[in-house]
Amino acid sequence: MSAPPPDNQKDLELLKTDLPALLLRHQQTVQIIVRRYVSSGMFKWEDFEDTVQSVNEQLIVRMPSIQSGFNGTTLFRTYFSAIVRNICLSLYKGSQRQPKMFRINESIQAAQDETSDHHHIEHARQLFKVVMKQFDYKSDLPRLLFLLKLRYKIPIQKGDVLGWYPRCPREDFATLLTAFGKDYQNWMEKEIYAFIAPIMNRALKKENSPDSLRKWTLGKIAQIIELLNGNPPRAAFNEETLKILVEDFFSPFLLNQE
Amino acid sequence: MKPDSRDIHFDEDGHLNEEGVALYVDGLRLERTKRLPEAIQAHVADCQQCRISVTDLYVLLEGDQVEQAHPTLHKPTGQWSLIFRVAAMVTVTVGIAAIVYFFTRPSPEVPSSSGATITLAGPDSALHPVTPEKQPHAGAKESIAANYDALPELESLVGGGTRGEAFESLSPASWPHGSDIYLRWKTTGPGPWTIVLVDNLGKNLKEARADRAELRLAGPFRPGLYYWKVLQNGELMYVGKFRVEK
Repeated sequence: MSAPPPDNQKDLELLKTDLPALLLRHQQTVQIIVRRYVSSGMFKWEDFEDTVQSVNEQLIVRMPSIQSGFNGTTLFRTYFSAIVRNICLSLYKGSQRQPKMFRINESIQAAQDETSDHHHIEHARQLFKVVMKQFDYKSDLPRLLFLLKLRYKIPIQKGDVLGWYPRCPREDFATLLTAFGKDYQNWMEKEIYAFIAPIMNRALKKENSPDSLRKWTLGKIAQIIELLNGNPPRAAFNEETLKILVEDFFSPFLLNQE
Repeated sequence: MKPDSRDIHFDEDGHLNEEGVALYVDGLRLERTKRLPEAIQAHVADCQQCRISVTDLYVLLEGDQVEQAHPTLHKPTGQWSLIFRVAAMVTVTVGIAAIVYFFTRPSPEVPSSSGATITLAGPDSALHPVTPEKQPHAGAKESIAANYDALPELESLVGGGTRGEAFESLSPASWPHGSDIYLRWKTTGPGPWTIVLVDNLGKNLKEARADRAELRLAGPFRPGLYYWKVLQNGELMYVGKFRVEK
């Protein structure tokens, strides 16, 4: 099942003139979202119809405030979906139900249904990119990606340094590429942070200790995993599967190799 | 007057409201996040709660068609196009000037200070406070280069020792200025060992006992070449070396 083809102008017209018709027009959107929450385990399949009805009851009450409150800066369907999502979350609140979760590593290793696994892998790849995009402000993302490479001991390249240290002095640049530009699997974690902390401090004009840099990196990793899994959780990514996604991000054919 | 994004896209708690979350998701789906209001980009980069909302909504709408024409994230036209073109030209000019400056500026010099010898702390002590180094003068470049001259009597022993046991260094060959130094090695026999740190003039700087095959030397170290000798029961087992870069 899919929602009707997008037509934002039509939505805006109905928002002004005919709220019941607008709500009817987006019934499939409501059902798609509730169905996805049922698939993740948030609601039971047998409660699907009742859940859709509960969502609609709340929407009917909210439509006048949607009409007056919507500023038109976004596509109406996306905005409407955000509202439906929040209604579903409020219906779910307090539930003890544990959502079932997709496990990417089992999918890669067991590979019983190739088509399904390919879809899941593409979904995971795209989701990872979407998650990382949200950290992309000023030089935050290049620095985070660089630290993820170091965390998983992936050899670095020139661009990995210049992304967060565009005016890197030649000496620091050579030192980094010599140390981390090839295999460095035998390096210990504390060696890596001890090595990189003074260089990052020079770049960022800060005085972070190696340990605080390590904790910052681990904190970001925990946030990335939480975003991949959702809250409430719809998946079960962990650091092992995150490592796979990071390696794939930098070597896109890794997960497609036989 | 055009309303501020802060008034439209944020709730009273300072987080993205439903329209703000929806706008960010549109940005992701249309790959136009750079066109989002600065306030939204900055907030999401810093707020896990809002990232969770954005990611969740994105996943819910996965596979759904998205309109390319967008009320906010459209391609600028008319006068805005001219302003953006002018801004792009200015940016490119500044960028070229920055590149020219970067490649033609003199090498950074060591910061000036009263000058003092940097003493080494013990292996498990906290970082020794940095005593700033002397400002290099006309002849200083020569002395800095001399810090990297090899010490012949130890250079010939690097990578080996006087005993027959296999010994392998697992430490990096160079370290950045300002870092602690981690020495690690692999050998067949058990410890303990005595580690002696020597500068490139042959002066013993530090002697420490290592019960495991690793030792942390608290920095900072003056840029230069250093040797480290591994001894056991008075016999030299291994000589290694490392550089501290400027």
